[in-house]
Amino acid sequence: MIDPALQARYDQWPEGPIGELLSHRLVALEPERGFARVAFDAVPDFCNPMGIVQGGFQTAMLDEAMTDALLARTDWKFYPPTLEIKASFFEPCRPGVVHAEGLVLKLGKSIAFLEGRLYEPGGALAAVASATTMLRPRTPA
Amino acid sequence: MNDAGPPARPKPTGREGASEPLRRGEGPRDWVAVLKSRRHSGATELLGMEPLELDSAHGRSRIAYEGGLRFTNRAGVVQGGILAAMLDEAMALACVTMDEFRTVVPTLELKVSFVAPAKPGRFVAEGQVVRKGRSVAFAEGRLFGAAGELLATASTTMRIVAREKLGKR
Repeated sequence: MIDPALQARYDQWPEGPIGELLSHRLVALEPERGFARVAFDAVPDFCNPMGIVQGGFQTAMLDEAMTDALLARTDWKFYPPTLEIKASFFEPCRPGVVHAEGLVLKLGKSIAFLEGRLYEPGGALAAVASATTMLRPRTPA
Repeated sequence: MNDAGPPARPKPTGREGASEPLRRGEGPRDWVAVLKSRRHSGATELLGMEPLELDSAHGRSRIAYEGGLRFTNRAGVVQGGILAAMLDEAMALACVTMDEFRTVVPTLELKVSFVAPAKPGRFVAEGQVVRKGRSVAFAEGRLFGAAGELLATASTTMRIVAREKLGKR
């Protein structure tokens, strides 16, 4: 599904421990469009007392998806710290495999605007988000 | 008459005495002890939640969290969404304490600004209810790092649901 060369480029900069905690993996990537689709395992450890994935953890997943879209769009040339993120929660998200999409709306010289969508395991749109990130030149690995 | 001063309402809105220091055991019950005695959810345990102060009269919370290495990203700082999770919970606790834990407060929307990089450590979140109505509440939050530095600010809109309506205890 994903071009092996693109997957290899993506794998050059692993997300770190948070990526492992969320079981973050790539599903689809379109660098020219600035679009990414990723998957996570939402486990009971992420749930609130109602057995629903807590809003903050959904926000973490949306943040990851939007960052992936931005990294691909900018060919991994920047380190993109998130300045602010706003998420709205439409439907409960139960534990299971969660998909999230990220899209670059506007790419400036030092700032990018992103949006994201999160789909609960049944496929319904559970949450949407928008984010603003900075673009910092990545120091050579 | 003029508009100065808080409106005269029988129910607290969360703004009264906002400049007073938090006091443990405000009101007839020690809500920190109550919260500690309750079964914690997965997310609460994962975040290492430790209640420090809960003020039911003023809708304020002060909660410690463990910003551990497992939450860090490629830059070695705790990921923003995890900070959002801490603030989300702290603001929710500020609200449900006002209702003496008789409600749950699903988040409708949550906005977080990341003011400084969150180096791993023990963080403290402060939640403050801004306005609590019958079915919706507004709250704000701040998250501080191990050295007391401001890491993030947040605002949220929550729906208020009575526990008895859920058919749970």
